[in-house]
Amino acid sequence: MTEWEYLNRAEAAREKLYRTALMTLGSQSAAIDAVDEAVYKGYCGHRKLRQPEYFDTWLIRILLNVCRDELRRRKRELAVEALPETAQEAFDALPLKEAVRRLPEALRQVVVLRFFTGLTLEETADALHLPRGTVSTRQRKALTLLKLELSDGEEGTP
Amino acid sequence: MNRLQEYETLMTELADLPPQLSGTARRARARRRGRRLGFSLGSLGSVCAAFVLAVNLMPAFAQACAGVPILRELAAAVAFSPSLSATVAHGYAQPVGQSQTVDGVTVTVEYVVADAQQMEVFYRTDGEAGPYEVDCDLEDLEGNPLTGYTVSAFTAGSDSGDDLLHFTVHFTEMDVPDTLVLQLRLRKDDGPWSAAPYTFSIRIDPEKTAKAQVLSVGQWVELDGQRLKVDRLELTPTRTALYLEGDPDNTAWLQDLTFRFTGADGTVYERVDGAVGGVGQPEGGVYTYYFQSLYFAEEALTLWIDGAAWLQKDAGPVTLDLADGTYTGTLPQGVTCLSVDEEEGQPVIWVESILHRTPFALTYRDETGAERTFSKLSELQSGETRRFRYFLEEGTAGIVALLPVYTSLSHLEEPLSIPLQ
Repeated sequence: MTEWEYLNRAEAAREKLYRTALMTLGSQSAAIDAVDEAVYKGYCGHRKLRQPEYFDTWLIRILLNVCRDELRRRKRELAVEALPETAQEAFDALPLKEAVRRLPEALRQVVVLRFFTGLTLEETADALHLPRGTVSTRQRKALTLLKLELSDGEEGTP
Repeated sequence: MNRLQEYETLMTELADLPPQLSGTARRARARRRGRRLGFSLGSLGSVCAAFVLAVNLMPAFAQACAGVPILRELAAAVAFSPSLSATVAHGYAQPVGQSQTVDGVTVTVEYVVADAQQMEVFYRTDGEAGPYEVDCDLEDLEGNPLTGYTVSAFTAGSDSGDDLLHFTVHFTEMDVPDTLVLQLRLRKDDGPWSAAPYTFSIRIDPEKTAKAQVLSVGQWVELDGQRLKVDRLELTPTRTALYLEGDPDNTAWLQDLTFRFTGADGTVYERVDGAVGGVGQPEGGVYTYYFQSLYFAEEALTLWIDGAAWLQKDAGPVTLDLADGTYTGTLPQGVTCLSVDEEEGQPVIWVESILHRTPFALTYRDETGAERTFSKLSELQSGETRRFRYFLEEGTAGIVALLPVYTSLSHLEEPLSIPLQ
């Protein structure tokens, strides 16, 4: 992928990236920083991207990695923990945005990519390097915990 | 509010993009460029040495310029480069003479030298003492950002502010436009960039540029068992571009080529005196190398190929366990040792090689397969051995995959020669 293609496609993807980062990290400033960092890392490695058709999921994967690092850093400083899957009442009591952030990471990534970033089931599976069936299962669990009834008609979506 | 209503409200909020997100890709490019500039400052000493050498080797040029004050100054500024010196001597320098002051520092763009694909910008700083690091973005006259170019600078500024400095804009995906706007920013000692950009509108004078001359070659050669087509040369006043193609059946990608030119009278041209040595997409089998300008060379030329660096197409990564230093995979030729050390609580990878060539890419893959970038690379020389230190991103642990830049190198006892008509 050429530099020109990368710059244009990265700029076009920033809305998806921002939604992903904001739903993962919670604050606007942290989300902007994470998007900047991910786009920078992508820029460093864009010439190695062999399949440009997977550009969005590739860049989102880099972003998830950046977000994970940031959450790990915060965990050391602020001791913010995800709630266990059994804590249904605690999820009910939280506003949706906060409840999503407090999902276990595996579930949060799926629900963020599917319903806030706007990826398809296939793209989500590709971004997370997971089988489609696993994405489906995690999506169902996450939506149940959030008491959110969403459907986009794709297989495996409730 | 039920969950669905909450979801809809949240999606509406998320549709509002903060303005700070605008230009994220340009910021990434500028940040990367900043790092590159940081590395290139180390070569200041060699540039100064070249300056002295060139002035002494080109008495005719120095004498020709001595009587014209502005050319004399420009001649000194370009003396490190035979190509630029010849370009200026043949009248391709275009005066600009625009000044702007930001944060008490005045920048004056004095000249540009442009041809089809490259533009040299000569400027000076006046005000608070330097040296400064310089960054440059380009826009068209309507304020739309231009893309497809890189910027390189050997020097970032002087202490006195008297010296004429320069940087190179290399256009990779378009020709130098007739008009453009330079947006310069300066900073000192890794401090903040200037609050506002210095803006200069440049109109390239067609009288001061020259069209590229194309020399078609179209000859296949065999090198280290691989086939390469020497397709053509493009000659411009500031540089020469050599275009090559690899045979799709080759088992390795060409990573680097050592070559030179000679004239019929025995003159040897063997300098890469521009800021950019080569670009291209090795994995597409198309290669471009840049060289000193042969635009003003009048005699018949011969291309000599002396050697090459190759990356086997099926070469896998070298996987390294950071915990115990064990690795799997084939090390690049010349690498004699791969080990892990620790500095300030972070693992650092040490690579020893008998070759002066960076063995692994600046990106690596962590245990999850995610691509990461080394935060720093340093190179030390001890006798015949080079020691490269790769500093991993914070938090990297477990097994990492290192990506070889090359797998083998060759130096031909009998160079390949290709006469050029």
